[in-house]
Amino acid sequence: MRSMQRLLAGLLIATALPAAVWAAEVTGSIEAGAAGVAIKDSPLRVNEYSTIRPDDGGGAYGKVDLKSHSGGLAVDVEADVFGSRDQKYDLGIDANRIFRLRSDYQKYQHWLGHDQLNYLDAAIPPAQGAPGSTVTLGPNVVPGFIVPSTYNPATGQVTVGGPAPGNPATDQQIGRASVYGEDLTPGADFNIRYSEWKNQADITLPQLPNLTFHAGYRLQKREGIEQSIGMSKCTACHITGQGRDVNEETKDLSAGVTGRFGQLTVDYTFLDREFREQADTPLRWYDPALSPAGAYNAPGGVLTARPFDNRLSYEYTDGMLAYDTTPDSDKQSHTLKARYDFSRDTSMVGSWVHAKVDSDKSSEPGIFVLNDDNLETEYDGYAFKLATKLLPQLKLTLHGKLEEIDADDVALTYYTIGTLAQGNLGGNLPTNAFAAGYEALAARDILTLGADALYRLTPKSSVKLGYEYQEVDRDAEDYEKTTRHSIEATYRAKYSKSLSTRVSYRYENIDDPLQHTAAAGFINPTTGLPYAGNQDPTPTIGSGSLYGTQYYDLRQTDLSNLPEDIHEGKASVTWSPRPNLSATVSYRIKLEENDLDRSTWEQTTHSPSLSLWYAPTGDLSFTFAYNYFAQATEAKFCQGWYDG
Amino acid sequence: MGATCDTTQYDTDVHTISLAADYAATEKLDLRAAVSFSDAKAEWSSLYINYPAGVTDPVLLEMYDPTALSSMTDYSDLHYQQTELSLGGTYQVTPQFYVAAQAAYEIFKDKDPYVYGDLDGESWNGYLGVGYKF
Repeated sequence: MRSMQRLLAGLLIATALPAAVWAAEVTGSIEAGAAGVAIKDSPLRVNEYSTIRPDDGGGAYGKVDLKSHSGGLAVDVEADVFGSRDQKYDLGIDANRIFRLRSDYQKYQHWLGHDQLNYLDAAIPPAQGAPGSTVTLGPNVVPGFIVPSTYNPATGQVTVGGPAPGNPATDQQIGRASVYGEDLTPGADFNIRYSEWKNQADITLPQLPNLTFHAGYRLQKREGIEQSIGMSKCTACHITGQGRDVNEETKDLSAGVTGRFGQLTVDYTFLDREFREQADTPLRWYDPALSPAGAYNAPGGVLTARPFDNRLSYEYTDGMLAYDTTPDSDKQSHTLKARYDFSRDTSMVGSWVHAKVDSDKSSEPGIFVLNDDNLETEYDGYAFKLATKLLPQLKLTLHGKLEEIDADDVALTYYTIGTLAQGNLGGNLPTNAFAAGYEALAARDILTLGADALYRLTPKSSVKLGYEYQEVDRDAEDYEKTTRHSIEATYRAKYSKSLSTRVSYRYENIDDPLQHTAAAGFINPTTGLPYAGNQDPTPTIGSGSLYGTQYYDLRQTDLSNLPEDIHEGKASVTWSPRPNLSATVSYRIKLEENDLDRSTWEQTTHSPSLSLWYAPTGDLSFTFAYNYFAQATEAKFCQGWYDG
Repeated sequence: MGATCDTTQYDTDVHTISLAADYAATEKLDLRAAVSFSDAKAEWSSLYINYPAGVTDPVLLEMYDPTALSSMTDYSDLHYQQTELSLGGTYQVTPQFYVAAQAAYEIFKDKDPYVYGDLDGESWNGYLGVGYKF
């Protein structure tokens, strides 16, 4: 019913237009009726983007298509309304080519998936065996401590150790890790109602025929509920999922002018964009910490602080904390484009873009503090393209672009838990502050230069050769400069009225693609073996290896899913032997690979397709299409144990 | 502690086929029909995790199961089939008045449910209306 009210409102608006519009010729159609949807089982895929209704039910629908012309005034109105969540409206006005307006509105619902989190659970069982006893190790038999060098591989038995008077402090402690996934809102539906309203107006005054002024307004909304996943970690990873409200709004305001001065055309546009998340930030409880725990009597009767102190920043007693936040941001950009036609055969286009984005972040006092609550990113891009005909059969194009992206580095200060004020934790450990700095990986300079030559072999065939060079120089010192060379050749030919073909080949060579250096694969620097510390008999409790310098820093395998070499071939043939028959066959193959330190990555893609159109009579036509996509990827997978 | 690595594979295969027809059956009746079918598969395979010779840590050898770890590739296998059918038409009762109708059926078969559960579903949708041209 509400949809019919909206449709009637649209018709009333149309009738309120100047009488001159309706006094003239009006053509179009109005359609109304009943529409419905019935869904069995899950709607997440069969109705993922709603077109009639997002769920079961029926109702009225309406369609309007009106065109009116009166002298120099033309108005187009279109509307498709299916329910309150599926609507589309278009309005076009042209007043003597002086004022033009285009306004579009669309609304629909998107069903989102619900991660059930029921596939994660794993745990080491509770400690078994009294100190001094013998147990047979197995997945369900795990002591809390074992005495080094007592393992018998023939029987699988080991002596149980542990902190007790008389036991040496060299027993190996077994970490008791576990993972538990918990869906706090089982059965909940997650969906987003999306709407977008776009408006663009152009004015060309008769007194200033060379100038066209533009103005635009866009409002995009996303409202609904998404699933939000958070985690408490350290020893036990407790992953929980719940819903979070979404009420996002993006507003664009743009203004600009296009000037045509003979051979010179200039266009300038200013854009102001505002993004706001108006829903409340989701909050969650974190699990109670187990460590740092109270001091204990170490062997020898010395009261000793337990290990793992000062490694947590927050836990249950900090109350509900914000997580999964969506920051507000603002963007302003200036775009200036110019085109100069030197002659019919030679033209040059240049452009400059300056954009600035501000994103609001927030600290969590007592847990972490940012050095700056506003992250700023600036973009400057300068581009040109020169196209000319050197000979009647030869066209040459040169292009280049320089992009400079500056982004703020970030410094954070973390505060660890001070246990005096938290009764669930033992000892009297002070809070400590740790500072950490992060370079912005987005900050980089990109230079692109290229040339293309198109040579017409015959009136019906041509060959195109192209070369492009690009380098990406990142500010972050841990990443190398990436350079790319690319060559391309394309051949097109029309053999007859009914047969044409296109074949192309492209090769790219990339040095130092973006990669995670030393990402995985521990290598012992002394032995060269991929492991160390075979049941080290010497460490005391709390004095084992340091994870950072002795484990993570000794990884040596580089990993990346970006190629260093790309070969890509495409071919297509179109055959139209008769006006009522057309067939196109095409094939694409892409071979990509990289060869990094201790790892290789390869990807092969094949994509053949066939499309047919056939009209046996003037009243009947068929369209057939077949696509096949096959992709095989080979990559290195590394599994560490004890953080290797 | 340490690490073990292996080269592994991930394969994706997607077939999509569609057929549509437009038929002006009579001067007053226009019909259109369409059918499409997609079969999409993704599979992670060839992962063989083994601990290097020389590792003697009893806890590691008893507690970590390389065979079980290697079989986790099954969790990332995906397979679905999607079929869509639609039939619609317009009948011009008079030069100004017409009747429009469309019916569509879609079935999604999730043959390897995992993270989001079983996504099997069917939908029937359509509309019937009258229109006026001027």
